[in-house]
Amino acid sequence: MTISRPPMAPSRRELLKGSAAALAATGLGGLGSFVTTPVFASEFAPGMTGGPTGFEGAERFQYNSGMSEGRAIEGIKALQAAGKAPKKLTILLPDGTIDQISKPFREGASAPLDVWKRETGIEIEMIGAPVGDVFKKVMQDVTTGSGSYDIYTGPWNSTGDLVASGGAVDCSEFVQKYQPDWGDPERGMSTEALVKLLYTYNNKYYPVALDGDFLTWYYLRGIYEKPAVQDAFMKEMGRELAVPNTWQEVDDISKFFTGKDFGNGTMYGNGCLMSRFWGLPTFYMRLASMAFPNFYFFNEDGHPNLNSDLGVQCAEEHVRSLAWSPPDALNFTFAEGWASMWNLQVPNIATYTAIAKFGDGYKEDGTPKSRATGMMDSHAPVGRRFGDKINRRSILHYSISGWISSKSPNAEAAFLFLQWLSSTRTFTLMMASPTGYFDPMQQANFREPLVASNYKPYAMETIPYTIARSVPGLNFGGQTAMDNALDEELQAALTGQKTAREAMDAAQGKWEQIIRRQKSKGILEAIKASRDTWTTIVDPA
Amino acid sequence: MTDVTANIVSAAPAGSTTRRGYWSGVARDGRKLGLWFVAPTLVLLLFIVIFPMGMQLYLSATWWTPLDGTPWYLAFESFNGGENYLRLVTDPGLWSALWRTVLIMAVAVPVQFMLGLGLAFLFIDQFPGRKIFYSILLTPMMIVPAVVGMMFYLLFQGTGPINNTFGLPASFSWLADVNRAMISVIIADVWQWTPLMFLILLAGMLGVPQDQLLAARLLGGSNWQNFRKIILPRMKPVIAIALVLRSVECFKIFDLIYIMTKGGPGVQTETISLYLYKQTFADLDWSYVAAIGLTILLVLSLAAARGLAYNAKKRA
Repeated sequence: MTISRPPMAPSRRELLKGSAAALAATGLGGLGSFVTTPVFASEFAPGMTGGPTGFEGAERFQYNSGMSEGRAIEGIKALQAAGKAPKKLTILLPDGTIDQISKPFREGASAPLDVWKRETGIEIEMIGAPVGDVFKKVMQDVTTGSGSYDIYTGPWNSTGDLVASGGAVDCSEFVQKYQPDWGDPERGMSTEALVKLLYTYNNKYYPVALDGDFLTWYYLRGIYEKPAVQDAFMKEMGRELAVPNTWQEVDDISKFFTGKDFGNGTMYGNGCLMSRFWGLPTFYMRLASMAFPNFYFFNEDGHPNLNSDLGVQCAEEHVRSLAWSPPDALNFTFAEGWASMWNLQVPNIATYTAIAKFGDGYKEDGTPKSRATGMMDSHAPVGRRFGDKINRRSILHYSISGWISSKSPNAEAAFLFLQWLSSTRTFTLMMASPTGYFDPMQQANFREPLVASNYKPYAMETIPYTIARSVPGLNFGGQTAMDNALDEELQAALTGQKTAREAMDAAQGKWEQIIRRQKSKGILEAIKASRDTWTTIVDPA
Repeated sequence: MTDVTANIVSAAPAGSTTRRGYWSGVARDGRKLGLWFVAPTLVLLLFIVIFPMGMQLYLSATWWTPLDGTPWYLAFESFNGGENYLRLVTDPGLWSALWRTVLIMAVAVPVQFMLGLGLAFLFIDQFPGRKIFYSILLTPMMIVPAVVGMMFYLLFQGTGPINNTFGLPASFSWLADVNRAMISVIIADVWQWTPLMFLILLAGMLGVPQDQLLAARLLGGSNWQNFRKIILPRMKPVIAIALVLRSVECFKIFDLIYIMTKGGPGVQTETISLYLYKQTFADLDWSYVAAIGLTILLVLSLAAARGLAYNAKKRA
């Protein structure tokens, strides 16, 4: 895969230039007093000048001015010295994420927000909204021009819509100036393609990733390993029950479990089908693996591939999987999807990684978080066999990102806050929180014991393995309408109102219509740029 | 009145003869005075009714969406004549949503009416515990619709209380089933709004003169005859109000369905309100939504005008 480097986008190597270069580039060299006289030096590890203090392991999250967080703090201090820093920044974010920023991960530890306030004195006003509604609030703010927030957060997929509406600031200049460590080869995202995927839109830096919603497969190892289950599977399928590698195997396992009771109530094999919006990524995952190495949702000219033979075949498989899903699956959000695994109702699910954080393990009072505690495990994404290779594919879907509001009078300070929050040390500290929707995705996150205790050691290799094999969902202007159109048609097929072929034909028509209307706004260019962010990794079968 | 206005006129600053002349004219002319009194309200109305409608009309003639990145007043750059109006005529999504809305209205409102009427009839007479039952009966309509939606969402789960009570298997899905989802929504709406119907109808029934009912009873009229010949004719205006109120509210149904099914499965419970919400916030197709909104307003206004004319003609 060749990745063409956009003119405004620095490479990972450039992102990693040392502090001296960054200081020179940002003109902060004259601010030596800030760098050399840290306020809480006595509590910091040698060489560190900022970050959390006062709890065991705090040094793992500390930084100095040569590090991404340190550069952000120094940047703020420079703005303050020049009288250009605000006293307060306002951020709109899903209410389920607020505690992750504002509360310490345990008593006695430092909350990320406290560290920020201590080091900059800038207050952060956090305004919460339900996770499903947060982008509606973003668009309300953009269209009314009220400029109520300096920073928006919302689904990564909506970046295109926000950029098209003129609501987000292109942060390429700030990225160049302050050099965040998002692409650090040791601590950040593992490939340049992933940096592009999460932090750029149309080759410019608009979103700042605060989440890693790469759908990851979880299964009930405790059920899989039961001798009765193994025997029954062997008898019925003629092979040992093992975690699936392909969609065919997923379907076989789903079919096997449906209607059976292995001592925990009736099971349903497929945990992936859900209501509109929440069930869509499963279809995309399946679709992405229909061809080798990828089945792109659009061809090179930006023409949708939905009603191609492979697209229709995928829709037929998707519809067939309803027969193995829980009865109310088409009304499930991710929460009910998680509950179906926690209640031992489904053996497999591809979902957000917080399923393990909230459902596997023990509460403070020593009681299990769910019936699935101790029974869960994770496995690699599934794909299809092409000769001696498998193209395992997952998808990036939702994934909370931050954007700087184009109405914000404090764009630079807002960016610096986001850089500080999303840099690998602070972000890892945030991942240590047992609450919240922000999920890990940086390499540093998966090496941190506190993160492993939340997201479980069994997922610490699976998640990055999944991330590397994930493709992007739609994220260009008109994405919401396109996802909605496909979703609606798929649901029509799932409820028997249309055949898979009719549904795909209709979805294709709607997508073409949307593309026609958005053509003048650069949708084709965005589609082509998105193709560059698709992984081409394949594994031996 | 004349004295007071005369005093006001005489208190006007000297030298403003023309103005004083005008105002004394206004003070003497009841029509002009009235106009001045309502002028502030008219200006307010202009701002809160005429301007938004004008803005809608303007947007509906363009392709403008927030994704354009231009302010709404520059929408003329994507002027499309009346294409949004042509589109709505041929939009199957809109028509099917409209059909489902009418279906809910056509089923839920008559059921609420019949139940409300029956309950009201039971509550005409005094009986022990009447006040308590009355309070209990009215409770559902005082609950926030979103809460009712959540209640019924939980009740109708495959493993929920309804299936458990009736011994139905967990696979008997209510909200994810194409047909039963609509029934579930209607049941929830009937549960919540029958009390309102009951309340209005009971008020109407209590307004029927007791002497007439008593006389009818003395003359040997049965309960049914009394109801049909005396109560029902006297309640006609109240019934009309109750039906219109509930029909209008039912047409706007949103919260309940949004919580229970989000319009699903597929679009099986998507009403016109949910469709508009989806077009507005999911598809961000604001110019089209403006066209739909104006068309609905126009159609409903025409229907209302026709209804009023019909009533007036009948009375005459």
